[in-house]
Amino acid sequence: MTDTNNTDIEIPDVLFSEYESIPTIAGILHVFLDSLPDMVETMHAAMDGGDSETLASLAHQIKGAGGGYGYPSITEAALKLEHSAKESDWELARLHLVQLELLCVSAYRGKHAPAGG
Amino acid sequence: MKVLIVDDSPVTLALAQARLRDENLDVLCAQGGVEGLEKTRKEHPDLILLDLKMPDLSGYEVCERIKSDPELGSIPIIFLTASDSVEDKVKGLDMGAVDYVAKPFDPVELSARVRAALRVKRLQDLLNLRAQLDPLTELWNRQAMETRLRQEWARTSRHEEVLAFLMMDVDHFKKVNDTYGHPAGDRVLCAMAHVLTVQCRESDLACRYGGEEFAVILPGADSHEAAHLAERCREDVEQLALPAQDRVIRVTASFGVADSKDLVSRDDLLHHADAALYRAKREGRNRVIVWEPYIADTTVPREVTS
Repeated sequence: MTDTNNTDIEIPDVLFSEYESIPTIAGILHVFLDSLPDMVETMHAAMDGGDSETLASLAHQIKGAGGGYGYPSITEAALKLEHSAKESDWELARLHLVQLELLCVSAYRGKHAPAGG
Repeated sequence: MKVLIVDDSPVTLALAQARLRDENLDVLCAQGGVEGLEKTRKEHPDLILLDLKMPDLSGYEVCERIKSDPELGSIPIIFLTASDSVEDKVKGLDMGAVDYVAKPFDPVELSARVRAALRVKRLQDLLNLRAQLDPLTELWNRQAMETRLRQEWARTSRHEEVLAFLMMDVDHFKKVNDTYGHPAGDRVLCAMAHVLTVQCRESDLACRYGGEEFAVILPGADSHEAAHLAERCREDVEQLALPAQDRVIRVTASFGVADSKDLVSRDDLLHHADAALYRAKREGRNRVIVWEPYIADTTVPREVTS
């Protein structure tokens, strides 16, 4: 069973999609990556407003999409955030949201400034 | 084949669409449950990939509405779920879904599950089609005709249009069977079916009504137009020369035609065509009779008509 409470997620500077070499997926990575800034911002607002339902719901969406676009670590981070949001464990949720956001930034970097950039 | 993906997230829609693009499928997308229902009704997809959690209408609600609709109930549904809950998966399957795929979905697994569901759907469609066909002539059978007539009658009434019904009966068919044997009789019936198939418009529905009797539903046609079709069929039947043993079988057919003008019941339409057919038999066979009010009192038991 996945431990959804631990905070141990490796965050690389640059994160590449596992499906970068599949043209049909590489061609739509931007759909996922471009949706992340708004979602992260909404999640921060939900956290500041104590809206655990919205926070869990958005985390749930990212969890469902991340791995499909070749970012299993984003799915893993989103799963942890969904869990902590559902538990209304705000301290842990804030940490998970930061981790998720950093992963999203790394993925964005991977897409726009590939290897060595 | 047509696959509809229903998900509130454009990100998931884009991904699923990309994943299925290589499967040579016609992939449609609906963002949310309400749009999903609308597209299901409009497009009649062969398979629906349905997200469970949607804010406007949940996947369960969409599934329930589709499964309770006789026109849509046979469309297979695969739930897409990011939920780990066994209860969610079981509930979905119990509601009539054929499968579920966990999100984030594995590309190979998603494609394989879609292929499996479509394989079953193709077989179901084939069985369903077979059940509606007459095995000898491969025309629609009587049950299929009655279903279609019910639909066409409702549509015609709604749009205040007209609908014609034609009945055809092979003259002295018993004598063909008695003289040349049943295999020859079967060949005559197949030849009749071929005549109808050649002469009917694409929108018409020809069926084997039973025994040596055939019927055609003609949406949008009145009895005058139906009589023209019947006359062309009558001429074709008269020209048939089917070799049997060292002889040639020649047959004729009688036709009764009616339309839905001023009628309140589809049963009346059948009775009128039937009465006209009987009249054609009584007036000497090998002819087309259009129903007129004067025919109303001449109906006799069906067994007298051959």
